[in-house]
Amino acid sequence: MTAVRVAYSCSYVPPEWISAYGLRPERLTVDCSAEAAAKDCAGLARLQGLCPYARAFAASVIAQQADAVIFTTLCDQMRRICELLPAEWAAKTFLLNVPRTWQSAGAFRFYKEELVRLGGFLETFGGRAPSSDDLAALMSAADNDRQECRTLAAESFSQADRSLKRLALTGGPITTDDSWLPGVVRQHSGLVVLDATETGDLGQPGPFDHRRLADDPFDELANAYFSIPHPARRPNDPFYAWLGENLAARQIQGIIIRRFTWCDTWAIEKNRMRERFSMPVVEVEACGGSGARARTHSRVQALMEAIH
Amino acid sequence: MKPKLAKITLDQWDARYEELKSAGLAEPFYGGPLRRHVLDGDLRLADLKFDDSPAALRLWNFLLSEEDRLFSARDGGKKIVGAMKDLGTVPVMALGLPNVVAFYPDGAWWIPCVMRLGDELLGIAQSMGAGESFCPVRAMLAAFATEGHFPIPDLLTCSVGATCDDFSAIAQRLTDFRQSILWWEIPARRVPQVGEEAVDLPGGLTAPVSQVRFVREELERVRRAIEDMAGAKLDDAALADGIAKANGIRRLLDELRYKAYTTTPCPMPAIEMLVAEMLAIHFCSDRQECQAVLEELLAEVNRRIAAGLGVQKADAAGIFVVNPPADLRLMNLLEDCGGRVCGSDYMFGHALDEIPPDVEPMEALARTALADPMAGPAGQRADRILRDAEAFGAEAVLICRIPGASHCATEGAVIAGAVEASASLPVVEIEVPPLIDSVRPNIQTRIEALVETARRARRRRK
Ligand code: SF4
Ligand code: SF4
Repeated sequence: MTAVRVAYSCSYVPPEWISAYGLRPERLTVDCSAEAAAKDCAGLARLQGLCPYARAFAASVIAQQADAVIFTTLCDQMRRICELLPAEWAAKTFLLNVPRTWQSAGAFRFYKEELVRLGGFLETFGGRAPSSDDLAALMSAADNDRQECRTLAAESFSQADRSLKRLALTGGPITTDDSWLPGVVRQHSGLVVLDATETGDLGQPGPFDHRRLADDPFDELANAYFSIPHPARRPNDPFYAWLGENLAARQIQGIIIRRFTWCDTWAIEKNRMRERFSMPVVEVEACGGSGARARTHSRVQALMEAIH
Repeated sequence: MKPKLAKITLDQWDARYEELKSAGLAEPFYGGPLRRHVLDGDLRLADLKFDDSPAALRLWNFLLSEEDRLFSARDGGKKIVGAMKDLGTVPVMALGLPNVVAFYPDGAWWIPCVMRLGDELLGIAQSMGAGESFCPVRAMLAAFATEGHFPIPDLLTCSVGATCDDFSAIAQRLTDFRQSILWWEIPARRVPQVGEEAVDLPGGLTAPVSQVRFVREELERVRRAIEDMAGAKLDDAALADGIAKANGIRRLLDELRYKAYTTTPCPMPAIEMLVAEMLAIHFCSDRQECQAVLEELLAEVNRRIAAGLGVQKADAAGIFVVNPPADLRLMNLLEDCGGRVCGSDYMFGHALDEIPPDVEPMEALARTALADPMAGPAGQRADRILRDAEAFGAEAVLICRIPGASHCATEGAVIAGAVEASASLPVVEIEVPPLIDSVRPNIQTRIEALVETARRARRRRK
């Protein structure tokens, strides 16, 4: 029997929680080409002012025939697309309320209540609520996988060619349209050694605390995901604390921000990063087509020239 | 047939003002000729047409003197709360304390229009990283930076959660220049699930009890912050007093809107009614005076209704307006094209509905905050628009698209679809920039077509 596929994009959706219900979580790799959006999601393709990522995510859900999809409220555009998708495709949709604030006990409790509500949604199409032990086992396995990735990343960083300029890539999620970007960076004698995009290290929960995991796995799961320092949280000081630490740890010399047109969340951060970190910062347009690629080339080149 | 009341230009207001003064016009302390606001930089006034009544003069003077009144409140030793985004909750709390005045810095949204882009606020915002992907609220960022448009508040609050990304991002940027912000959360309102404990909200909405409880806790944080700032206790009795005062304003506006939007001929121009509605949120910087302004406007409307006088011909097409137009001049244009306003949703319907008077004050405020039309599904907003359009007898719907606004990417389609499907009303969505001059012919053609379609439908119904 094939597992029911539950698509999502947002970092605040814990895949372990979906797996624990016996369903298959799929963080979609989105195809951002305009053609794909038009073919799979004609109604959304017509809308002006829509973030191309949000549109392409909806199109990818349809193209990849996911059985259900989870949106979150972390971004206004995604929240509103959740309302429009059912007119395009008979999907089971769920809107997970992710608090923007994080400083009150109430916000954390609210997030936990939302995860419980998500569990109820998963049960409506075959999911089964997990036992604590099952959840803990799944969480440990996922934690080990992530730890392995971190170890590999650290190794590859230590072996990286020291003559290359070390860059951080940050911004919205990576899509199929981005596979050429590392090549461009390389072409200009650079190397991305920190993936601080939403789909990279930034969007990963920190390691679980094993004592708390044993005591109350659900609480530890919620705590780890709730603590992801996305720049859309208010205030977003934890994002800057996380970024500052990682920039220092990897001896980063310059930052590339990938921004989707109309994405205000990331747009506002370019100047803020420039003011905070003493290194050059450039913004490149994500999913902007061939014109944007040409501009990306020259901006990456300018960034390299600015690094001494 | 009764003659149509004339709308007058700023030049004509100069003469009219002299005439009224010689006839003994008594004005409040912020009174004076409209011209002086133009001299202060509010250049767009010179391009508008106004109602010629003393009541309208007082309304405009009240709106355009908020900055001066706030500075004198500070000079008089009052503490100032800048409430951002919630549009209708935090200032009501502040009303409970006599030494506190609240205002919405969000009002800077209109500055690019009112100053005819003259204050370079959009350019300054752009240089700070808020370019054209943001709605005109980016002017607020520049207004804080330049410190020229309102006093810097003693306490600045901002509701986030189900807020547009535009505002949330701009507010975050504010923290970079010494403004600390008390962030509080209004989650995306959702429909209660089957079997889930639910509660009625103003505006005919419902929400899960758990969501209201969360907002209430958030408002408790706001209450403590106001108390700390003011050095005084904001107890339930004081809150209830603030709610009663706010409801007084809301009731006045309710009557004013009903009469202005349903009477033929239309007794008050669209632009003055837009300004009056804005007082639903901007009343808080001087509640008593706002009440007097609205009472005088209502008296003028009543007088005109009794005399059968109106500002538009009786056959004007009734248009329901969705979203505030970024350029006030659009309201003149709508009337020039043969329309009149029959209902509106300027995105703060929850600031017009009465705050529940029969429950504990914090509970009432939490329910009101959660009833924000922008915090829920666009489909619910569309339902309310349909209900109100019917109640006000609207014959067509005009959706003003706000340049750069994140919700406008999707919301217009939902609302237009609902209106076309359920009410069979003609609907058009038009992008309205802060100055419409360069696109005026195109906008005019589209509004004329909307008016004509509405009139044709009316003829068919007869
Ligand atoms: S890229 Fe920005 S606007 Fe687009 S979906 Fe992500 S957060 Fe939202
Ligand atoms: S106009 Fe729309 S996008 Fe702009 S601040 Fe208001 S709600 Fe947000």
